[in-house]
Amino acid sequence: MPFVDDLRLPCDEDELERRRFLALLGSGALGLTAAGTAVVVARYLEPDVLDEGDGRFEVGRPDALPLGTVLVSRARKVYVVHGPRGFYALSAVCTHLGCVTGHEPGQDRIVCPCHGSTFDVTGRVTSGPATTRLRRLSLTLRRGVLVVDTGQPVGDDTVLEV
Amino acid sequence: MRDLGRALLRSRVWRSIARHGFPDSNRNRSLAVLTNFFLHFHPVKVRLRAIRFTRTFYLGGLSAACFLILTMSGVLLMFYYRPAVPHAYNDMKDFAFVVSSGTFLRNLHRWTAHAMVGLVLAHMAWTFLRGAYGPPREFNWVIGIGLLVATLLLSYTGYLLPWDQLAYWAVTVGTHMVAATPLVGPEIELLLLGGHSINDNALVRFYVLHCVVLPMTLALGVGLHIWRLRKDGGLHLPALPMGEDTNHGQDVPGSEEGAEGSPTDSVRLVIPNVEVADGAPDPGDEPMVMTFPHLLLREVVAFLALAVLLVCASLAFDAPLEGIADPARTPNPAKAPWYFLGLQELLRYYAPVVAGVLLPSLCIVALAVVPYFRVNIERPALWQVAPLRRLALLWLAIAVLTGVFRVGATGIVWSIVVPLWLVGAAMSAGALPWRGGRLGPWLRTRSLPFWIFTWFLLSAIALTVVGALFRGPSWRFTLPWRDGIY
Ligand code: HEM
Ligand code: FES
Repeated sequence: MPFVDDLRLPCDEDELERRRFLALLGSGALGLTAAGTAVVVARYLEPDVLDEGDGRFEVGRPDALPLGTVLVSRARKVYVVHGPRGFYALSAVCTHLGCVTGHEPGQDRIVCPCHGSTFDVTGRVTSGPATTRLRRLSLTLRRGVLVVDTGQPVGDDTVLEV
Repeated sequence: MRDLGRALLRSRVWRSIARHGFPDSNRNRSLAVLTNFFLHFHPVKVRLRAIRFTRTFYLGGLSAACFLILTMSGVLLMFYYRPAVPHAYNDMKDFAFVVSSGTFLRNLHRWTAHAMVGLVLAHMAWTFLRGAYGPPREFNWVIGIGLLVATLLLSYTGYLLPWDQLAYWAVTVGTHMVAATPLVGPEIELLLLGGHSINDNALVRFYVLHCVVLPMTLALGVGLHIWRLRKDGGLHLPALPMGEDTNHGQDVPGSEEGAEGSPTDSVRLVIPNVEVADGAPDPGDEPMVMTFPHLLLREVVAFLALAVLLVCASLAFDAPLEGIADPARTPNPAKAPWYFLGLQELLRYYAPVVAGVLLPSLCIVALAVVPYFRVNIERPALWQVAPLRRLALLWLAIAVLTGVFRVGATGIVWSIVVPLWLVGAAMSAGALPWRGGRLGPWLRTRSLPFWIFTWFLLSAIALTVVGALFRGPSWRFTLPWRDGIY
């Protein structure tokens, strides 16, 4: 069988130019398709609707929490504290890497089991790898009942005076 | 009976399956390797020096063997396992109580996974110490790093599947680490979990990654890795010492034995010259043996030894399973699997961006570029020139590094700093004018990258050991002999 060596076939400048253009067009189209596919896949993998529940829940009447109480809601991962200046809600999720902290009533501090960060009951870091304080969450009084909204963070000094 | 066997082997049916005759001649032995799909990644003949056990300790081959065992046991586990909450956890209980051999299979899968991580790490360390990643093997080393990452990811994704407390919290910490990556972190976390917390969505995603995406990637990568090994001329061997002038009259410790060890053994390192590195070495002065049976037999024995060990371990020890995952209650302490404990220990000291993202990626990048700087290969001895100035420089560098690791840490990271000082002391001992019997020359001839890698290795081991044995509730320091192991 005769071997046709394409490298030695005659080809003039115009033809070469035409082929370069077509090659560019072709690889451009391939690139666009690849990029488009990547975007579509990423969009597909990102969920559009999430059923992650409503962050609001009722805690109880303020007079059930005397001064100095730290109420722990394990299920909601929230502390509700009655401090000297008023009531506030703290997220119990450690700001380091997301473990759920625990309250040690004896020393009145909050400790994280994962890497040992400690916080005081106002949420400030007292030691350990965490660098930011526990998030404060919205706490409001509705019809005489304290309501926390875990989906709504608030400023670090926010307290509710009753 | 024997005649019947022979007749069968000669039958048209058998000959249509295996295209060669009984492997009792070298021709048929060659054909057995060449024409068999499962063996053809081997050459027909191998260099005798290459198949010595201590050359590789078969670490790479045993990693591949673990992957095989994991695939088989994993596929069997898939027949019962459902990636949903709370079925996943209940299915674990079923394996323990109602599926026949369920416990054994789960144990086998778990212990083999641990073994594979250990073997891959050991394979990497040994490949480094042998200096076997020089040209033309640089890119195969990079592929190797990819395989290491894939192995760790495989292990990490598998960790969530039992949906017990251990699984849930180890993965919580892991994904928050990912989320700490600047800019893209939260987006990656969302894609990985399919939500903002670890629940059904995350479980399915981890399942698909663990059972389909990562094993396929790894299988492809291992194939590529071994194919390139072949194309690069087989295992890296130090050049034969006899009758070559590459040693420049240096005293290579006598026998072939000494020259064979790690390439840094001789003061002036002998790299195989390009012709040798490119293809098969000159067959003239290299003793060869037939792959069938010499190499194959060794491989089979190594594989069987591993299999026996893993089966015994799986019969004797049960894989742990804690209570069902409870997002509201973090166990105290919450520990990652052993190979991530070094990382978790680092997290005790540094911010997540540093300990979880910056340091690990730096390590991986540093490892990947190793072959392109020809580190650990062909270096003049460290202390040959200006020993006093170099000694001063060394301790200056150590002081600076000690300071660097204090920056941004919540204390002195002893697990990193002490190995640094130890390595410094060992290096200095080599610079001092003492003979030191056999130890002295050995210390003197180590290269700088050797010391850096040793420091890496020691730090990683120290961090892991401290994390595994000396950390208790709230990651406080505990003594294992006094307080027990958590
Ligand atoms: C899934 C994991 C891996 C598997 C299954 C694997 C498999 C293998 C096998 C079978 C060999 C033949 C020699 C031996 O047994 O040591 C080999 C050689 C090699 N591996 Fe791996 N490997 C893996 C990971 C790695 C890693 C993490 C590295 C380093 C970053 C690496 C770098 C190398 C290099 C450079 C060689 C060539 C050694 C020489 O020429 O002497 N591999 N590998
Ligand atoms: S997650 Fe709380 S200290 Fe790390």
